[in-house]
Amino acid sequence: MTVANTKKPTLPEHLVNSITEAIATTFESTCGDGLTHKRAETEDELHGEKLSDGVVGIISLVGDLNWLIMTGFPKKTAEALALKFVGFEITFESDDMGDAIGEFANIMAGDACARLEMQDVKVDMSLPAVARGSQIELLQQYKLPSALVRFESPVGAFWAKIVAAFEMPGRKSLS
Amino acid sequence: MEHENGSALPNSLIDSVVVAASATVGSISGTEPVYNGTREDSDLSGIVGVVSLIGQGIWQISVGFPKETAVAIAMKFAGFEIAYESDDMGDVVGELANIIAGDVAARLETSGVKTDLSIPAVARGDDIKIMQPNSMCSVYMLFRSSEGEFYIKISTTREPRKREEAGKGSNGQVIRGTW
Repeated sequence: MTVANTKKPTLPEHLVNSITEAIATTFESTCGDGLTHKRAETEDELHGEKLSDGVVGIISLVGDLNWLIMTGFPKKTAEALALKFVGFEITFESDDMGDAIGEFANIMAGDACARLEMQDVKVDMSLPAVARGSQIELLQQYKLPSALVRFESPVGAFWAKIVAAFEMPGRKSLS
Repeated sequence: MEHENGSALPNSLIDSVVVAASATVGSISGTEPVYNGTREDSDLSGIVGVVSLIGQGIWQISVGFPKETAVAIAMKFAGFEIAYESDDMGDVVGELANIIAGDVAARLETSGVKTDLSIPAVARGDDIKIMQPNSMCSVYMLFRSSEGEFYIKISTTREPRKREEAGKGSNGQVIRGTW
């Protein structure tokens, strides 16, 4: 009798590191130095409770891999990032907040694509979306494998969740 | 079917979304939803699935359900009750967004526009709004089904996006939001 191997695939560390560095570089180029990050094992460790008021940048990479990158900013961090990014105050409730966080996601993903391409992983990036609301949760379809990263900065904390789909016909095996 | 959307989104794409939504929700519900036209984007207390289409064109499709509609449609989809607060609700809404986007992608492919689908992202909460940068334009489409109202929003870039402008390698490939 054989026992099926039910171990969930994990995301390749070197590629997760590329995404993490892209997020960190983009954030630091906007908000200055002092950013730290560490991997989280659970959603609770990642961001604690639901974002009582927050925004989440959503962008995807499709090609040699199919990954979803979500970056979550509590209100205070979002407002601080937006202020540094555009040079003037943007309130959390304004549509300009979507513009600022969306462009952040865009720049970050562009950096990530370039880093992946240097490792011979070719991807295209999607258009960014920004989810804003209260008591906001990001749900993951079918518990796909993911990597969770928590960031701490002088202007506030934020987090990233990188989700991977491995069952893609014709895709390179990167695990 | 004519739409005065005044955006970079061709009517033929909007028509495909209407047909995809009608077919998908209709097959689940037993009754085709009614398309109630476009309107201004607004907040939603409920759950939204977001899928991107990336390839010879680049678009984003958001499918949003108010809480009551989500519960009713999930029950029809799964055949049993699914609690709104459960993780399973994320699976259902993600799958619905995936099916609708996949239908649109298939229709695009018959016209020679090949795209790949992203993994769905699903957001649940109060007063949720899915926003895009000002460099993008969107059409917000309202539907009414026998399970309740839902919306589909299609977004694309106002101008063609070049890879080098996004910080990628400079192969000069232009990704257009036109079809």
